[in-house]
Amino acid sequence: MSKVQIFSLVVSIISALVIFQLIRKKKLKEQYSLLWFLTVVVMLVLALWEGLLYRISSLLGIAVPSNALFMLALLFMFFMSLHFSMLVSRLTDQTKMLAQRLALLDRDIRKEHESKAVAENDKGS
Amino acid sequence: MTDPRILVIIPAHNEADSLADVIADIRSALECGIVVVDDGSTDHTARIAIEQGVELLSLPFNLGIGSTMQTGFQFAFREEYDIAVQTDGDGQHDASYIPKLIEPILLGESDFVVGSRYLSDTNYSGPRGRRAGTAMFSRILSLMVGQRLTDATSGFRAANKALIAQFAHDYPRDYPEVETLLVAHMAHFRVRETPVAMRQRGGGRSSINKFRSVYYVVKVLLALLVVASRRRTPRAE
Repeated sequence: MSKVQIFSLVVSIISALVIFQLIRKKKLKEQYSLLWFLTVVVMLVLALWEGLLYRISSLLGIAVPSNALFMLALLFMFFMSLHFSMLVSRLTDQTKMLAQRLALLDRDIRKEHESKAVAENDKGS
Repeated sequence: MTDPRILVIIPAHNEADSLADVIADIRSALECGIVVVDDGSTDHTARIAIEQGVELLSLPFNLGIGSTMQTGFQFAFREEYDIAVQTDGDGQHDASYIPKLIEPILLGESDFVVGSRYLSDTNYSGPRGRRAGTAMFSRILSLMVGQRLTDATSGFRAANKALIAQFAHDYPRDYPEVETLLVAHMAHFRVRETPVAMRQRGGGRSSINKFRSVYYVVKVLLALLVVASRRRTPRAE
């Protein structure tokens, strides 16, 4: 096993442990952790299976295998960011709807209190 | 339409200085419901609305003008108002024009009436940059809807009941004026303009400053493109 393989292996294992720990502490939803675990698995496979990266790069017509790796990593990050942008958009929308619902309910409660206060005043006089 | 119920929506973000005058103006102009939608103000906008005895919807934090207006439409929809008028919290819009604004809706001639600064020969028409932007959007929009529009960015407008339902359900989050006109057209609502005069801003600042104006133009153009790319939906009644 070459030096770089051992290094990649160690990094992958540490990543997996960090993700697992985050799930245990409930800081990461399982839904998202699956994606990250998948990433770690890909890292592991690429680290252990020496020929794979060469095959991928020749398949894509990229001369230097490390460039193929960088390109794939960049693409992956791009789609992850896009995915998070989508999530943020959805959350923003949901937050907005909650705020609007709250404003309407807040008004209804205020009205109810007012009408109760009026009714009590009428009784008193 | 027998005895139509009219609601004037005032979106207000830190408009404590001008709000009481705006409400008094509207009350002297016509008989109607008034709702102030407080967009997370940090001053006593909400207190003034309560003191004035108008309806108040208080958003817990700042949502921006579009979502604030939408909250007003949601209230209008729930309370089954026939016409919703949107005006500004800073006294820019002259409430005495509201009866003229809702007239085409009362007559059943139009679904969406926009008060235009450029149909009348009034002296005030806004700062120069804003004027150029409005002219550009108005021209683009006129081409898209096949009808001459002069003041696409005007926030002084009136919507009928069917449009209230539509806006309560879906409304752009920020810089909604131009986009909602196209949305209404795409959904087969009849849009029309009517001349109004506008005043210099009282309290409060314009929501559009120089740094944001680039974002404004790009956002609105993109929004128009997106709306236009959708199929024209049959009008929902």
